Amino acid sequence: MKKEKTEGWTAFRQQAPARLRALGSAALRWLKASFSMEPGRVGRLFLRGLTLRNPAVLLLLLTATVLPCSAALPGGLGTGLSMTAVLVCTNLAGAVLRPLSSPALRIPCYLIAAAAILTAAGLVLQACFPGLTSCVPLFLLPAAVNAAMLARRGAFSRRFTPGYAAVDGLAAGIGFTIALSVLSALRELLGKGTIWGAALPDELPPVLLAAAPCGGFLLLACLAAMVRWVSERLERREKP
Amino acid sequence: MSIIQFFALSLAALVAEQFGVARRLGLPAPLDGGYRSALVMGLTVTVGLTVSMLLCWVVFAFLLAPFGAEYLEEAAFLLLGAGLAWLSSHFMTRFLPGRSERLRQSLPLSAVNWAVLGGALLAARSEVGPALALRSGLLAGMGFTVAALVFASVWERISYARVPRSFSGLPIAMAAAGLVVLTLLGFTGFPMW
Repeated sequence: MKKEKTEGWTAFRQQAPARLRALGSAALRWLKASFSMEPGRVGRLFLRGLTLRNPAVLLLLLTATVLPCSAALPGGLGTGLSMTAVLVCTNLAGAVLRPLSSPALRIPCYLIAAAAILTAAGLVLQACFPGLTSCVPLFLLPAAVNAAMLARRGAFSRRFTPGYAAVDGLAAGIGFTIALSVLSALRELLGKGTIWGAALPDELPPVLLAAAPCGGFLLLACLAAMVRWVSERLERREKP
Repeated sequence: MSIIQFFALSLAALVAEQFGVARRLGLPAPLDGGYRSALVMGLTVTVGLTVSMLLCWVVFAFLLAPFGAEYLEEAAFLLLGAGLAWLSSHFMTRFLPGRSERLRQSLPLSAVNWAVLGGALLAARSEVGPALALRSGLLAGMGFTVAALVFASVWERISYARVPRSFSGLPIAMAAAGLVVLTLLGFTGFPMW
Protein backbone atom coordinates (compact mmCIF):
# COMPACT_ATOMS: atom_id res chain seq x y z
CA MET A 1 0.00 0.00 0.00
CA LYS A 2 2.66 2.39 1.07
CA LYS A 3 4.85 1.45 -1.87
CA GLU A 4 2.02 2.10 -4.31
CA LYS A 5 1.45 5.45 -2.76
CA THR A 6 5.09 6.45 -3.10
CA GLU A 7 5.13 5.18 -6.67
CA GLY A 8 2.06 7.22 -7.43
CA TRP A 9 3.68 10.23 -5.82
CA THR A 10 6.87 9.84 -7.86
CA ALA A 11 4.83 9.42 -11.02
CA PHE A 12 2.86 12.49 -10.10
CA ARG A 13 6.05 14.43 -9.46
CA GLN A 14 7.49 13.32 -12.75
CA GLN A 15 4.36 14.24 -14.65
CA ALA A 16 3.80 17.48 -12.79
CA PRO A 17 5.89 19.81 -14.99
CA ALA A 18 4.30 18.48 -18.17
CA ARG A 19 0.86 18.87 -16.63
CA LEU A 20 1.65 22.38 -15.49
CA ARG A 21 2.84 23.27 -18.98
CA ALA A 22 -0.34 21.76 -20.44
CA LEU A 23 -2.35 23.79 -17.94
CA GLY A 24 -0.57 26.93 -19.01
CA SER A 25 -1.28 26.36 -22.70
CA ALA A 26 -4.87 25.39 -21.92
CA ALA A 27 -5.29 28.60 -19.96
CA LEU A 28 -3.80 30.54 -22.86
CA ARG A 29 -6.17 28.82 -25.28
CA TRP A 30 -9.11 29.61 -23.00
CA LEU A 31 -8.05 33.23 -22.73
CA LYS A 32 -7.66 33.47 -26.49
CA ALA A 33 -11.02 31.84 -27.15
CA SER A 34 -12.89 33.92 -24.63
CA PHE A 35 -11.32 37.30 -25.29
CA SER A 36 -10.94 37.25 -29.09
CA MET A 37 -13.51 39.66 -30.46
CA GLU A 38 -14.54 40.97 -33.83
CA PRO A 39 -14.49 44.76 -33.99
CA GLY A 40 -17.86 45.07 -35.70
CA ARG A 41 -19.71 43.31 -32.91
CA VAL A 42 -17.80 45.27 -30.28
CA GLY A 43 -18.87 48.48 -32.03
CA ARG A 44 -22.50 47.35 -32.06
CA LEU A 45 -22.34 46.47 -28.37
CA PHE A 46 -20.87 49.88 -27.60
CA LEU A 47 -23.59 51.61 -29.57
CA ARG A 48 -26.23 49.61 -27.72
CA GLY A 49 -24.71 50.50 -24.37
CA LEU A 50 -24.27 54.19 -25.14
CA THR A 51 -27.86 54.57 -26.31
CA LEU A 52 -29.01 52.98 -23.01
CA ARG A 53 -30.77 50.06 -24.65
CA ASN A 54 -29.71 47.73 -21.86
CA PRO A 55 -32.72 47.07 -19.59
CA ALA A 56 -30.62 46.88 -16.43
CA VAL A 57 -29.19 50.32 -17.18
CA LEU A 58 -32.62 51.83 -17.66
CA LEU A 59 -33.65 50.48 -14.27
CA LEU A 60 -30.43 51.77 -12.72
CA LEU A 61 -30.83 55.22 -14.23
CA LEU A 62 -34.42 55.64 -13.08
CA THR A 63 -33.60 54.39 -9.60
CA ALA A 64 -30.54 56.60 -9.34
CA THR A 65 -32.56 59.71 -10.15
CA VAL A 66 -34.53 59.13 -6.95
CA LEU A 67 -31.59 58.51 -4.64
CA PRO A 68 -29.77 61.53 -3.19
CA CYS A 69 -26.50 60.54 -4.89
CA SER A 70 -27.64 62.09 -8.19
CA ALA A 71 -28.45 65.51 -6.77
CA ALA A 72 -24.94 66.91 -7.45
CA LEU A 73 -22.32 66.36 -10.13
CA PRO A 74 -19.60 64.62 -8.03
CA GLY A 75 -22.13 62.12 -6.69
CA GLY A 76 -23.50 61.37 -10.13
CA LEU A 77 -20.07 60.88 -11.67
CA GLY A 78 -18.86 58.70 -8.78
CA THR A 79 -22.00 56.59 -8.85
CA GLY A 80 -21.62 56.11 -12.58
CA LEU A 81 -17.97 55.09 -12.37
CA SER A 82 -18.46 52.66 -9.47
CA MET A 83 -21.51 51.20 -11.21
CA THR A 84 -19.41 50.69 -14.37
CA ALA A 85 -16.94 48.60 -12.38
CA VAL A 86 -19.76 46.55 -10.85
CA LEU A 87 -21.45 46.00 -14.23
CA VAL A 88 -18.20 44.83 -15.85
CA CYS A 89 -17.45 42.46 -12.97
CA THR A 90 -20.96 40.94 -12.76
CA ASN A 91 -21.18 40.44 -16.53
CA LEU A 92 -17.74 38.89 -16.56
CA ALA A 93 -18.63 36.58 -13.68
CA GLY A 94 -21.77 35.43 -15.45
CA ALA A 95 -19.97 34.70 -18.70
CA VAL A 96 -17.03 32.93 -17.03
CA LEU A 97 -19.34 30.77 -14.90
CA ARG A 98 -21.53 29.66 -17.82
CA PRO A 99 -19.40 26.71 -19.02
CA LEU A 100 -18.21 25.86 -15.51
CA SER A 101 -21.54 25.30 -13.80
CA SER A 102 -24.33 22.88 -14.57
CA PRO A 103 -27.69 24.41 -15.59
CA ALA A 104 -29.31 23.66 -12.23
CA LEU A 105 -26.55 25.42 -10.32
CA ARG A 106 -26.08 28.32 -12.71
CA ILE A 107 -28.31 30.82 -10.91
CA PRO A 108 -27.01 30.12 -7.38
CA CYS A 109 -23.40 30.24 -8.60
CA TYR A 110 -24.03 33.49 -10.42
CA LEU A 111 -25.83 35.00 -7.44
CA ILE A 112 -23.04 34.12 -5.03
CA ALA A 113 -20.45 35.65 -7.34
CA ALA A 114 -22.57 38.77 -7.78
CA ALA A 115 -23.15 39.03 -4.03
CA ALA A 116 -19.40 38.86 -3.43
CA ILE A 117 -18.84 41.59 -6.01
CA LEU A 118 -21.46 43.91 -4.59
CA THR A 119 -20.19 43.44 -1.04
CA ALA A 120 -16.66 44.24 -2.18
CA ALA A 121 -17.84 47.30 -4.08
CA GLY A 122 -19.84 48.54 -1.10
CA LEU A 123 -16.86 48.12 1.24
CA VAL A 124 -14.52 49.92 -1.17
CA LEU A 125 -16.96 52.81 -1.44
CA GLN A 126 -17.32 53.02 2.34
CA ALA A 127 -13.57 53.04 2.81
CA CYS A 128 -12.50 55.40 0.03
CA PHE A 129 -15.52 57.55 -0.88
CA PRO A 130 -17.80 57.80 2.16
CA GLY A 131 -19.86 60.50 0.46
CA LEU A 132 -21.12 58.00 -2.10
CA THR A 133 -22.61 55.42 0.27
CA SER A 134 -26.15 56.44 -0.66
CA CYS A 135 -25.70 54.64 -3.99
CA VAL A 136 -24.89 51.27 -2.38
CA PRO A 137 -28.47 49.91 -2.76
CA LEU A 138 -28.04 50.34 -6.52
CA PHE A 139 -25.43 47.59 -6.59
CA LEU A 140 -28.10 44.95 -5.99
CA LEU A 141 -29.91 45.73 -9.20
CA PRO A 142 -27.74 44.40 -12.06
CA ALA A 143 -27.40 41.12 -10.19
CA ALA A 144 -31.18 40.88 -9.72
CA VAL A 145 -31.95 41.72 -13.35
CA ASN A 146 -29.33 39.32 -14.68
CA ALA A 147 -30.58 36.56 -12.38
CA ALA A 148 -34.15 37.12 -13.60
CA MET A 149 -32.84 36.91 -17.15
CA LEU A 150 -30.95 33.72 -16.34
CA ALA A 151 -34.07 32.21 -14.79
CA ARG A 152 -36.07 33.11 -17.87
CA ARG A 153 -33.60 32.06 -20.56
CA GLY A 154 -31.66 29.30 -18.84
CA ALA A 155 -28.23 30.78 -19.57
CA PHE A 156 -26.34 33.63 -21.09
CA SER A 157 -25.99 33.17 -24.83
CA ARG A 158 -23.19 30.87 -25.97
CA ARG A 159 -21.92 33.61 -28.24
CA PHE A 160 -21.67 35.96 -25.27
CA THR A 161 -18.07 35.07 -24.35
CA PRO A 162 -16.33 36.79 -21.40
CA GLY A 163 -14.76 39.36 -23.72
CA TYR A 164 -18.08 40.45 -25.15
CA ALA A 165 -19.66 40.36 -21.70
CA ALA A 166 -16.99 42.72 -20.35
CA VAL A 167 -17.38 45.04 -23.35
CA ASP A 168 -21.15 45.02 -22.89
CA GLY A 169 -20.83 45.91 -19.21
CA LEU A 170 -18.27 48.63 -19.99
CA ALA A 171 -20.42 50.19 -22.70
CA ALA A 172 -23.54 50.08 -20.54
CA GLY A 173 -21.60 51.58 -17.65
CA ILE A 174 -20.21 54.40 -19.80
CA GLY A 175 -23.67 55.20 -21.15
CA PHE A 176 -25.04 55.19 -17.60
CA THR A 177 -22.19 57.41 -16.37
CA ILE A 178 -22.71 59.98 -19.12
CA ALA A 179 -26.48 60.10 -18.66
CA LEU A 180 -26.27 60.32 -14.87
CA SER A 181 -23.52 62.98 -15.00
CA VAL A 182 -25.55 65.18 -17.34
CA LEU A 183 -28.63 64.73 -15.19
CA SER A 184 -26.85 65.44 -11.91
CA ALA A 185 -25.03 68.46 -13.36
CA LEU A 186 -28.37 69.90 -14.49
CA ARG A 187 -29.95 69.15 -11.13
CA GLU A 188 -27.08 70.78 -9.27
CA LEU A 189 -27.10 73.81 -11.56
CA LEU A 190 -30.85 74.33 -11.27
CA GLY A 191 -31.32 73.24 -7.68
CA LYS A 192 -28.33 74.84 -5.99
CA GLY A 193 -26.91 77.21 -8.59
CA THR A 194 -23.46 75.59 -8.45
CA ILE A 195 -21.35 73.25 -10.59
CA TRP A 196 -19.11 70.77 -8.78
CA GLY A 197 -19.62 72.80 -5.60
CA ALA A 198 -18.35 76.03 -7.19
CA ALA A 199 -20.78 78.93 -7.35
CA LEU A 200 -21.45 80.57 -10.69
CA PRO A 201 -20.36 84.22 -11.09
CA ASP A 202 -23.86 85.65 -11.35
CA GLU A 203 -26.33 84.34 -8.82
CA LEU A 204 -29.08 82.08 -10.18
CA PRO A 205 -32.32 81.72 -8.23
CA PRO A 206 -32.39 78.09 -7.08
CA VAL A 207 -35.30 75.96 -8.32
CA LEU A 208 -36.01 73.64 -5.42
CA LEU A 209 -38.10 71.41 -7.65
CA ALA A 210 -34.97 70.21 -9.45
CA ALA A 211 -33.38 69.07 -6.20
CA ALA A 212 -36.45 67.06 -5.11
CA PRO A 213 -36.80 63.43 -6.24
CA CYS A 214 -39.55 64.28 -8.73
CA GLY A 215 -37.37 66.90 -10.40
CA GLY A 216 -35.02 64.16 -11.53
CA PHE A 217 -37.88 62.37 -13.27
CA LEU A 218 -39.08 65.50 -15.02
CA LEU A 219 -35.58 66.51 -16.14
CA LEU A 220 -34.87 62.98 -17.37
CA ALA A 221 -38.14 62.95 -19.33
CA CYS A 222 -37.26 66.28 -20.96
CA LEU A 223 -33.73 65.08 -21.75
CA ALA A 224 -34.98 61.82 -23.29
CA ALA A 225 -37.56 63.66 -25.38
CA MET A 226 -34.92 66.16 -26.52
CA VAL A 227 -32.50 63.40 -27.51
CA ARG A 228 -35.25 61.67 -29.46
CA TRP A 229 -36.33 64.89 -31.18
CA VAL A 230 -32.76 65.73 -32.23
CA SER A 231 -32.07 62.22 -33.52
CA GLU A 232 -35.32 62.20 -35.51
CA ARG A 233 -34.40 65.57 -36.99
CA LEU A 234 -30.95 64.27 -37.99
CA GLU A 235 -32.45 61.15 -39.57
CA ARG A 236 -34.95 63.19 -41.56
CA ARG A 237 -32.18 65.45 -42.81
CA GLU A 238 -30.08 62.49 -43.92
CA LYS A 239 -32.85 60.68 -45.80
CA PRO A 240 -33.94 62.92 -48.71
CA MET B 1 -35.06 58.20 3.48
CA SER B 2 -38.57 59.58 3.37
CA ILE B 3 -41.84 57.97 2.35
CA ILE B 4 -41.87 60.04 -0.80
CA GLN B 5 -38.54 58.65 -1.85
CA PHE B 6 -39.81 55.11 -1.47
CA PHE B 7 -42.87 56.02 -3.50
CA ALA B 8 -40.65 57.51 -6.20
CA LEU B 9 -38.42 54.44 -6.06
CA SER B 10 -41.38 52.13 -6.70
CA LEU B 11 -42.56 54.29 -9.58
CA ALA B 12 -39.04 54.26 -11.05
CA ALA B 13 -38.93 50.47 -10.85
CA LEU B 14 -42.37 50.18 -12.47
CA VAL B 15 -41.53 52.51 -15.37
CA ALA B 16 -38.18 50.82 -16.02
CA GLU B 17 -39.84 47.41 -15.98
CA GLN B 18 -42.56 48.59 -18.33
CA PHE B 19 -40.08 49.84 -20.94
CA GLY B 20 -36.95 47.75 -20.58
CA VAL B 21 -36.90 44.73 -18.35
CA ALA B 22 -40.28 43.18 -19.16
CA ARG B 23 -39.81 43.24 -22.91
CA ARG B 24 -36.28 41.89 -22.65
CA LEU B 25 -37.46 39.03 -20.45
CA GLY B 26 -40.42 38.31 -22.71
CA LEU B 27 -42.94 38.90 -19.92
CA PRO B 28 -46.17 40.91 -20.07
CA ALA B 29 -45.53 44.54 -19.10
CA PRO B 30 -46.74 45.29 -15.55
CA LEU B 31 -48.82 48.36 -16.38
CA ASP B 32 -50.62 47.10 -19.47
CA GLY B 33 -52.93 44.72 -17.61
CA GLY B 34 -54.74 47.47 -15.70
CA TYR B 35 -55.65 47.34 -12.02
CA ARG B 36 -55.75 43.58 -11.78
CA SER B 37 -52.18 42.91 -12.79
CA ALA B 38 -51.00 45.93 -10.79
CA LEU B 39 -52.73 44.48 -7.74
CA VAL B 40 -51.24 41.02 -8.32
CA MET B 41 -47.80 42.57 -8.69
CA GLY B 42 -48.28 44.66 -5.56
CA LEU B 43 -49.40 41.67 -3.50
CA THR B 44 -46.47 39.51 -4.62
CA VAL B 45 -44.11 42.34 -3.80
CA THR B 46 -45.69 42.84 -0.35
CA VAL B 47 -45.61 39.16 0.61
CA GLY B 48 -42.16 38.55 -0.83
CA LEU B 49 -40.62 41.67 0.65
CA THR B 50 -42.03 40.95 4.11
CA VAL B 51 -40.87 37.34 4.10
CA SER B 52 -37.43 38.13 2.73
CA MET B 53 -36.90 41.00 5.18
CA LEU B 54 -37.83 38.68 8.05
CA LEU B 55 -35.56 35.92 6.76
CA CYS B 56 -32.82 38.48 6.28
CA TRP B 57 -33.19 39.55 9.91
CA VAL B 58 -33.01 35.88 11.02
CA VAL B 59 -29.85 35.32 9.00
CA PHE B 60 -28.40 38.58 10.24
CA ALA B 61 -29.11 37.96 13.91
CA PHE B 62 -28.20 34.28 14.14
CA LEU B 63 -25.58 33.80 11.44
CA LEU B 64 -23.87 37.04 10.50
CA ALA B 65 -23.82 39.08 13.72
CA PRO B 66 -22.28 36.34 15.94
CA PHE B 67 -19.37 36.05 13.50
CA GLY B 68 -18.97 39.80 13.04
CA ALA B 69 -19.90 39.66 9.37
CA GLU B 70 -22.57 42.37 9.37
CA TYR B 71 -21.33 43.74 6.07
CA LEU B 72 -22.58 40.61 4.29
CA GLU B 73 -26.18 41.56 4.94
CA GLU B 74 -26.99 42.88 1.48
CA ALA B 75 -25.45 39.83 -0.16
CA ALA B 76 -27.55 37.62 2.14
CA PHE B 77 -30.63 39.62 1.20
CA LEU B 78 -29.93 39.13 -2.51
CA LEU B 79 -29.49 35.37 -2.09
CA LEU B 80 -32.60 35.06 0.12
CA GLY B 81 -34.79 37.07 -2.22
CA ALA B 82 -33.69 35.18 -5.32
CA GLY B 83 -34.03 31.87 -3.48
CA LEU B 84 -37.53 32.80 -2.38
CA ALA B 85 -38.54 33.71 -5.95
CA TRP B 86 -37.11 30.48 -7.31
CA LEU B 87 -38.73 28.40 -4.58
CA SER B 88 -42.19 29.92 -5.02
CA SER B 89 -42.03 29.56 -8.79
CA HIS B 90 -40.98 25.92 -8.36
CA PHE B 91 -43.82 25.15 -5.96
CA MET B 92 -46.33 26.90 -8.18
CA THR B 93 -45.39 24.81 -11.21
CA ARG B 94 -45.38 21.71 -9.04
CA PHE B 95 -48.64 22.06 -7.15
CA LEU B 96 -50.72 24.52 -9.16
CA PRO B 97 -49.83 23.69 -12.76
CA GLY B 98 -51.58 25.95 -15.26
CA ARG B 99 -53.67 27.73 -12.63
CA SER B 100 -51.57 30.61 -11.45
CA GLU B 101 -49.90 31.61 -14.69
CA ARG B 102 -50.23 35.35 -14.12
CA LEU B 103 -48.84 35.09 -10.61
CA ARG B 104 -45.91 33.00 -11.78
CA GLN B 105 -45.15 35.36 -14.64
CA SER B 106 -45.05 38.32 -12.30
CA LEU B 107 -42.44 36.65 -10.11
CA PRO B 108 -39.21 37.67 -11.93
CA LEU B 109 -40.27 41.30 -12.02
CA SER B 110 -41.33 41.10 -8.36
CA ALA B 111 -37.89 39.78 -7.50
CA VAL B 112 -36.36 42.82 -9.18
CA ASN B 113 -38.72 45.02 -7.14
CA TRP B 114 -37.67 43.26 -3.93
CA ALA B 115 -34.09 44.10 -4.79
CA VAL B 116 -34.94 47.78 -5.40
CA LEU B 117 -37.04 48.30 -2.27
CA GLY B 118 -35.14 45.92 0.03
CA GLY B 119 -31.76 47.44 -0.80
CA ALA B 120 -33.11 50.91 -0.02
CA LEU B 121 -34.74 49.64 3.20
CA LEU B 122 -31.54 47.98 4.37
CA ALA B 123 -29.51 51.09 3.60
CA ALA B 124 -31.98 53.49 5.21
CA ARG B 125 -32.76 51.84 8.54
CA SER B 126 -30.93 52.80 11.66
CA GLU B 127 -31.69 49.91 14.06
CA VAL B 128 -32.20 46.18 13.74
CA GLY B 129 -35.02 44.02 15.07
CA PRO B 130 -37.62 41.45 14.07
CA ALA B 131 -40.58 43.81 14.56
CA LEU B 132 -38.80 46.50 12.59
CA ALA B 133 -38.01 44.11 9.73
CA LEU B 134 -41.61 42.89 9.61
CA ARG B 135 -43.06 46.38 9.76
CA SER B 136 -40.73 47.94 7.19
CA GLY B 137 -41.17 45.08 4.70
CA LEU B 138 -44.94 45.08 5.05
CA LEU B 139 -45.31 48.84 4.83
CA ALA B 140 -42.92 49.21 1.90
CA GLY B 141 -44.83 46.48 0.07
CA MET B 142 -48.15 48.19 0.75
CA GLY B 143 -46.68 51.48 -0.45
CA PHE B 144 -45.56 49.74 -3.62
CA THR B 145 -49.08 48.35 -4.13
CA VAL B 146 -50.61 51.81 -3.77
CA ALA B 147 -48.02 53.28 -6.15
CA ALA B 148 -48.70 50.53 -8.72
CA LEU B 149 -52.49 51.05 -8.51
CA VAL B 150 -52.22 54.84 -8.80
CA PHE B 151 -49.77 54.67 -11.66
CA ALA B 152 -51.81 52.02 -13.50
CA SER B 153 -54.75 54.42 -13.63
CA VAL B 154 -52.50 57.30 -14.67
CA TRP B 155 -51.05 55.14 -17.42
CA GLU B 156 -54.55 54.17 -18.59
CA ARG B 157 -55.43 57.84 -18.92
CA ILE B 158 -52.21 58.54 -20.86
CA SER B 159 -53.03 55.79 -23.33
CA TYR B 160 -56.09 57.81 -24.42
CA ALA B 161 -54.17 61.08 -24.68
CA ARG B 162 -52.47 62.54 -27.73
CA VAL B 163 -48.83 62.67 -26.68
CA PRO B 164 -46.23 64.59 -28.76
CA ARG B 165 -44.21 62.15 -30.82
CA SER B 166 -40.87 62.75 -29.19
CA PHE B 167 -42.49 62.32 -25.75
CA SER B 168 -44.43 59.14 -26.50
CA GLY B 169 -43.41 56.02 -24.61
CA LEU B 170 -40.73 56.25 -21.98
CA PRO B 171 -40.42 60.08 -21.60
CA ILE B 172 -44.13 60.61 -20.94
CA ALA B 173 -44.11 57.76 -18.42
CA MET B 174 -41.20 59.38 -16.58
CA ALA B 175 -42.90 62.80 -16.66
CA ALA B 176 -46.13 61.25 -15.34
CA ALA B 177 -44.23 59.54 -12.54
CA GLY B 178 -42.56 62.85 -11.69
CA LEU B 179 -45.93 64.60 -11.54
CA VAL B 180 -47.42 61.87 -9.33
CA VAL B 181 -44.51 62.25 -6.91
CA LEU B 182 -44.91 66.04 -7.09
CA THR B 183 -48.55 65.76 -5.96
CA LEU B 184 -47.43 63.76 -2.94
CA LEU B 185 -44.69 66.28 -2.28
CA GLY B 186 -47.35 68.99 -2.23
CA PHE B 187 -48.78 67.51 0.97
CA THR B 188 -45.53 68.26 2.77
CA GLY B 189 -45.81 71.99 2.08
CA PHE B 190 -43.00 71.94 -0.46
CA PRO B 191 -41.95 75.37 -1.83
CA MET B 192 -41.24 75.06 -5.53
CA TRP B 193 -39.19 78.21 -6.05
